[in-house]
Amino acid sequence: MSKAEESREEVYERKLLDRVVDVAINGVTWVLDRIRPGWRVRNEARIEEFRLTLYAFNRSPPGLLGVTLISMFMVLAVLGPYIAPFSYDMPLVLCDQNAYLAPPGAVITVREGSLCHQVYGIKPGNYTLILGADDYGRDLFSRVLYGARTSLVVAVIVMLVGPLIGILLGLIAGYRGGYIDEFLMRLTDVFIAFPGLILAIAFSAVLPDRLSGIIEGYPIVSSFFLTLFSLKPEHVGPLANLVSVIVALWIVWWPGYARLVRGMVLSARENVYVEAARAIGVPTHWILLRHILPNISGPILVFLTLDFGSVILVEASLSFLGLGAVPPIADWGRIVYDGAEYFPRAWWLVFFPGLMTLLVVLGFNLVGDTLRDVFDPRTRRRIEFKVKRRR
Amino acid sequence: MVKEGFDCDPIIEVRDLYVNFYTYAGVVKAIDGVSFTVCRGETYCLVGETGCGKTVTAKAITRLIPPPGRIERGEVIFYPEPGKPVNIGELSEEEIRRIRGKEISYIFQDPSSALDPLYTIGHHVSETMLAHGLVKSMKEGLREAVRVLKRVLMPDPEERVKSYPHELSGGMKQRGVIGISLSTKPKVLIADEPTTAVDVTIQAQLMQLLRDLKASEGLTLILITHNMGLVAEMCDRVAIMYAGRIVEEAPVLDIFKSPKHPYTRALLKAVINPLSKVNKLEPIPGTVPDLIRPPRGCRFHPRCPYFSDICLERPPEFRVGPRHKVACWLYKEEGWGRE
Repeated sequence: MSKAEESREEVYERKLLDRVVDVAINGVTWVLDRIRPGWRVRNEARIEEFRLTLYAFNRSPPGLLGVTLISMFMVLAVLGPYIAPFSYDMPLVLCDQNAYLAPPGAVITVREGSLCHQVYGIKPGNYTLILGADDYGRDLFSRVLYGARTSLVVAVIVMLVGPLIGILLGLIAGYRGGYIDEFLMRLTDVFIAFPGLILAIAFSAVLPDRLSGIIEGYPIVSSFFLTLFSLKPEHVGPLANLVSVIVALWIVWWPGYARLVRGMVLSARENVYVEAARAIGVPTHWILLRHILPNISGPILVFLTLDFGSVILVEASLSFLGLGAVPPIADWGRIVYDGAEYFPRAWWLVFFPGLMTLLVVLGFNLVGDTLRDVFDPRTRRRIEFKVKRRR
Repeated sequence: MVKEGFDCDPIIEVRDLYVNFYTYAGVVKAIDGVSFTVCRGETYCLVGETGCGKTVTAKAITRLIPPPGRIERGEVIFYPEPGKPVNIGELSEEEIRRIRGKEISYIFQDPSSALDPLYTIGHHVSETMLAHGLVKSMKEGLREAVRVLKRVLMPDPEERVKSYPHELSGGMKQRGVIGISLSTKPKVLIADEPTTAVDVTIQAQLMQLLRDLKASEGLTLILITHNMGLVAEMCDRVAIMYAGRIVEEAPVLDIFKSPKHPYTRALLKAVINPLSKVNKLEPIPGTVPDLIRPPRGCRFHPRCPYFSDICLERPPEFRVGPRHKVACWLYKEEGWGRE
């Protein structure tokens, strides 16, 4: 045990998870220290602060539950297409009549030399459909796994761009003030005044026609998206609908961030150190990116986490309304929409994708809430007391 | 250039400066026709009570007035080299940025809020030098920062360069801030109440440091303060400000020995005067005027014991000594320097 390790032992009440955190942090810092010698010493304070943040996070059971849910979702989304027993569009009714609206746990048989065996290459034998199947006999378990991929990819692409636009506009509006601020904020108001979902519906109804030309015209673009969504090449057509949802969500997702960031910049720019930086001639973009943005990053990070769940929910809602993903693409919202026809007889078609959406959104919300507690200095102190060793 | 009537190589000239703040309550006329010249190498003091416009004047020198404030009228001329005037008002944002910090640097009142809590003191110094192209990279800047901190007599500079603001004491922080300001070797240093936030013993040390640095680096110092002791200690020339105007300007000894303006006299009676034997302090009757509706004419007249009707007109500056100017009708007849 190193000296630092021992002193940490004295100060903190370390749980098993904290030790895991320590191992992870030590590993990462060791690697970084190898790449850039002296890195660890220079960033000692930051590392220690980060460690304490994670310790504090470890003291929140809901947060840990959220992390578990999110990481399970991530694993399913990344590995799902590889572990799914069937392809997302495989109509198993062709193999066995029993696959039609098969309930969870139903067993189907693929016969030697049947159409399924010869054309689709499914090995003969008995298969248990864990979550049942839909009216084409498509395996619900496989479709839910593929649906996780769809949700994650849409959410990530939306969250990479939408908030970025909002944050940049908010920084400029808040720091510049005057007419620029007025213009940007009125624009934001216009976008906020429109219910986001309706705006997204409008855009995702109009955009696919325009986007399909671009997507089908450039093989690189289409193969990029096909790989991301893990779709078969023949489904390049429905791809335009998915991408249009992404673009529609970019358009409706920035105003919240613009407003949030502007508000925080307004108070952050009053800090004397911002004025001091200006007075000694630090360029404006440095002030914004190095002094203002890092100082307001806590709430932004919380907002991002919470929003990740919202994007997944809104994307599912759009698909549920018939926009966005179209069959046979697997999408939770769309599966619920298609299954609603057979509800309550085939309840599993609505229940399982709905449950997945619920758990994932819950996971992001729990993590977001916990992060807020950890980043807010007032609640943070209270949590830190739990971390400190009682004497 | 011998407009002053004595030998002066000007480095900053403020001419007829007007600054307004547009607030919801009305237009605050914070600076109302201020003119002064700072000579190269001297320590020039702006003195006055809170809210009289000292800080705004200092900020106006490099156009740092934040909205809703605006420089209404007037010019600031900066002479980087003798006889080479630069009109600050005509520069582009980028040009003025190159002057801020590089030529004219600032020290703020409270060092603990002037430092970004997220960065080490070395990072601050390095960033300043990088912003003005004095170093190529942050890394080089950090090495250079050690030398800078040594110059401002920071104890243990190799270690302190890695310290975050919360790990430093008030005095060390202010040394750090001075180091940041001086890292670019500016020609003018504007120190806005640099010692208000630190205790008295540290004050003395910091002032000694500023004086030494001024001598060794050929700085011109503009010191903003309401501390008369500091004025007596540090300054060459003093401008007394009241309600957005300079009411009296004189070499430091003249201010203490023969204050002319009624406000200056009242001010000296209200603080402990190092040259006076009277130890009873007298407050100035009345209150600071509302700058949205300032008094007509001389802004001091409602509180002035020598009030007469002529005070309702704005007093011009009267010369009462070779380097002594006062804006008060009482000295209309004195007419120093007139034949």
